[in-house]
Amino acid sequence: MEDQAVLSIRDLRTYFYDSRGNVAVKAVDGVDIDVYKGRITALVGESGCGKSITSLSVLGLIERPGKIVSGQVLLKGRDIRKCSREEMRGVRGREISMVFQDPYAALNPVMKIGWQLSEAILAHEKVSGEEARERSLRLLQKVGLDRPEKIMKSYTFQLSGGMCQRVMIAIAMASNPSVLIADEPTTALDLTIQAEILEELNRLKKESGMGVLLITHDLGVVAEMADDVYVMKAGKIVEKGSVYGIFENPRHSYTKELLGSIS
Amino acid sequence: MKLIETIGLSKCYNEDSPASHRIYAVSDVNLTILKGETLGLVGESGCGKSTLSRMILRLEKITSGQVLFKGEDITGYRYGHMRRLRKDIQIIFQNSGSSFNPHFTVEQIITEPLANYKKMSRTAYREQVVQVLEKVGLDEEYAFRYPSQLSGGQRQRVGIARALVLNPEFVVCDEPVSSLDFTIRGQVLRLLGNLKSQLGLTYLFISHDLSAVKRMCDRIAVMYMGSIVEVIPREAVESGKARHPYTVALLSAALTTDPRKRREKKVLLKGELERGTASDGCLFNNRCLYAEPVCKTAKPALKFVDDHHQVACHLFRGMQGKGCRLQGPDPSAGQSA
Ligand SMILES: Nc1ncnc2c1ncn2[C@@H]1O[C@H](COP(=O)(O)OP(=O)(O)O)[C@@H](O)[C@H]1O
Ligand SMILES: Nc1ncnc2c1ncn2[C@@H]1O[C@H](COP(=O)(O)OP(=O)(O)O)[C@@H](O)[C@H]1O
Ligand SMILES: [Mg+2]
Ligand SMILES: [Mg+2]
Repeated sequence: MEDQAVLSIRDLRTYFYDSRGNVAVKAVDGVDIDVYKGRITALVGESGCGKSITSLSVLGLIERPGKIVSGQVLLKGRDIRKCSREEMRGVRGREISMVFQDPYAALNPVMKIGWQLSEAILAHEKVSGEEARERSLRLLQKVGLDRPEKIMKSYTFQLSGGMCQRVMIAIAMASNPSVLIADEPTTALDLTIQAEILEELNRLKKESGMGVLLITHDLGVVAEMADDVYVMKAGKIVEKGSVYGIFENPRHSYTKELLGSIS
Repeated sequence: MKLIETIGLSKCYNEDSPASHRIYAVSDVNLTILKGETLGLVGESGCGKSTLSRMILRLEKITSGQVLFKGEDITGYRYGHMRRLRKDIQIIFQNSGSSFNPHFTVEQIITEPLANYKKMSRTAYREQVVQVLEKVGLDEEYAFRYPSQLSGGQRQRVGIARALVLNPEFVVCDEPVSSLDFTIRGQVLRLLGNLKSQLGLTYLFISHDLSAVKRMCDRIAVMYMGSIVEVIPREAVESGKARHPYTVALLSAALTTDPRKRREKKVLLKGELERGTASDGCLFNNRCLYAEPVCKTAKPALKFVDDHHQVACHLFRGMQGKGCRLQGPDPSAGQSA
């Protein structure tokens, strides 16, 4: 753990304002998180505690009435909050990729999968269309999809939830990101498909060495996947530690309450 | 005593289509629910759990088959009969809140079913409402709140109160905690357990979450594509006696709650559920890791392998033999928690 983190969030604060300009919700209220290369860092907490807003803040995707009030987001030591909009677009998808809970919402329903994948590849690399196609096929294979040619020609409505999530992961992996943020990636999926997707994420992490920030409300996912754990409540990190520390020796009363609910 | 029994219960939502295009959401289900037990019903979303339970409650038209309540065939019940039966059989939904009228107070929401059956004075209604609210752990003051003024957990408690106010015998709990946060989930499950023993209820407890089911249920029915593939007592699950490859896969896919018990291989089936595929054989054969030729050609019947344990699988040779012929799955694989 002495290594420098690939992603460090420092004292991040993101607030939402009411119409009169007063603070309505302190959605993220002074959060520090470190994500390391080749490790899975879980951010766990109940719904509404600020997990998604944390990840959207990292990606510079907060819109009004929300605002990042303060803090740093250090990607390999560089504060990307200082990036221009244009630069941030380069960071997103190239250095930090994201997978969301609902793949149907994240994919374009009227574009074939092959097109969306090629576009993701071409967005940050100048390669020929043919080369992009080749790579798309390889990516789909890499995320465990059997018949990549067929998938390339499909629209999202022709695919199951689990297949769509694999496609999302393929798109996220297209740029060999240093950080993958996965926000409840399996919450919408059935148990057996969840197990497959989690297995896939683990394998991809090992192969690529990327750092993963895994956001979840499910302590089972944490127990199964995480190396490091941050427990969030009402915009604040109440406890952090190794996965064993958190499960076997929780210190904060809220962590104990969460763990009590599953045993 | 058998409280509920279904005989060959089936549901086809597209009955008007030509026979070859008909899809059965539930097919030929024979299930018994004993008085006083909690029977779990698990399976992936879309496998027919809600449809089956709604047919049992007669909230869904039955395509074929029968439902017996205390030995009496209620399949053909109409108005008057049904009205009387309604009192005894109730349902708690996943998202009780969304079925509430937002302009009704909690008191009005709970009084509604009551007023359908008993004419009483306002104060008598009030008393019953307060009593049932107390049972589900809510103060009297909640009676005057609107659904929007309640948290998710409180709304679910009101849903439970509404289901219980008529003193039913049988309650279907359809994913009662799936939309709740972890800490609340535990509270509501505990509440359901306590109410059951206090009031002598019988539950059909539906969930895709095996850990909740293992905690709540005496027996567990596993459903796959509209059919029951295994009915197994809880202790048998816990001692690794699950036999159907699908049950074993489900158990193995369940997440651990102990990071030291992670296992590498958790996926014990292949592919994904393909809806609408009809087959003469076992519906699970295309995802099964152990399928043999017979699995493609003949449907396995649900057979007793033990007094309380039924399995529908060709690969399982019954109780005289050595038990399961399957080589692959470690039968204790699912016991992570
Ligand atoms: N657009 C918005 N306007 C106002 N409040 C918001 C908005 N989006 C999120 N919030 C609030 O921010 C808090 C954190 O939300 P979120 O990060 O989505 O939670 P979760 O941990 O479930 O992902 C919640 O209280 C939510 O109500
Ligand atoms: N009203 C309906 N009309 C047509 N098909 C339906 C209807 N309700 C459910 N179905 C279909 O029946 C199958 C079983 O659904 P359901 O009983 O809701 O499953 P579960 O509760 O296990 O998720 C699904 O394929 C679903 O699409
Ligand atoms: Mg979220
Ligand atoms: Mg359902």
